[in-house]
Amino acid sequence: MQRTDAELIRRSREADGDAFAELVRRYEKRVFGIVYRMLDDYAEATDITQETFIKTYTHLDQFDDERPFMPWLATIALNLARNSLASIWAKRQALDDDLSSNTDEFTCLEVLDEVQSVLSHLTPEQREVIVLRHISDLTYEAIAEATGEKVSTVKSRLFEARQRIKLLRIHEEAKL
Amino acid sequence: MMCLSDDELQMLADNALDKKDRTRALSHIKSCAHCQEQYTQIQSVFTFLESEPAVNLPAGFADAVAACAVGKYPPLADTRLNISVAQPVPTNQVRTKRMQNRIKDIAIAAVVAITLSILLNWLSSNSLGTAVDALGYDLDTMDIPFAYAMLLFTLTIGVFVIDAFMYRRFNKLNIHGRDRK
Ligand SMILES: [Zn+2]
Repeated sequence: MQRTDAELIRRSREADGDAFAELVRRYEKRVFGIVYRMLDDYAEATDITQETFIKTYTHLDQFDDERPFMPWLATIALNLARNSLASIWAKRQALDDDLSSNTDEFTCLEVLDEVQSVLSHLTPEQREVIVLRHISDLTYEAIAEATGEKVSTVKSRLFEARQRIKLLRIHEEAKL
Repeated sequence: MMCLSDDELQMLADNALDKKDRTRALSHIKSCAHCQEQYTQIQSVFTFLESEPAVNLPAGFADAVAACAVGKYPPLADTRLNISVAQPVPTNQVRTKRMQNRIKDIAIAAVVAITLSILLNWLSSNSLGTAVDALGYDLDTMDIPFAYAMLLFTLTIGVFVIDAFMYRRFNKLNIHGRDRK
């Protein structure tokens, strides 16, 4: 019989490693999805996913059992991914400065899948609402809570982002 | 009825319309080719965005992360997954474990030492007493081994209690690990 999230969380609080592993298995794909779709970097996304679950574990006492688990998890993942994104950007900036003075070198960027390459045309804020809606399946209200924005802002950002994606895909298809 | 706005269509796809609006929107879509086309396009964006990434987490990720979290194993950097560890095992847990191991070692050493000394004492007193006096032991000389035996018994019980306590602590922290796979 499948155990409920609440039960697994309760057992994890008592340091039951098997229960926590089960909980991780249940959510790892979605957490990895959020982080990977935001960062475009496999190694970094794996690290951040791991960090998210470790942080979750150490803060389980602060989680309210009455609420669904995914929004809370997504908030932790999002904050870690935001921090990581900031340092990735700083690194890329430094690399760009470096490259402009030495044109012989080139960088080996990770090959992006179709979704990644479309998402790369969005602003980081649009990207956040898209991944939280489509990968963690959060409601507008939960996304607002996770991002610290108003529900109306989340909605307009999400709708704009999808419009842009729709156009980008039409554009991509036209190129083929 | 008027055609649905793009926002309304997106909310419909997000399952965010209330029941009344939802029913109304769905029945309009059925009768309006334009809105149907728009809605299909939105749904295709959804399918596209929800497609899984080509890459995934390494196998055994959940177990490795959980083991790291509960401190069952040393930091993950040492495991075959070779995932760098974000947060090491809390040092107070490590310290508690180390201290408990030390107490256990001392207790075991004490028991072994006392047992050996009693055995040696007993053997030597027997051989020194020789066969002539073997049956002539009075209660006064019998008292010494008896006292040793009582001491040994008490210590054994003590060690059992300490061991049981530590076993429970280890299981609770999940760093005992020996009887787990
Ligand atoms: Zn219409």
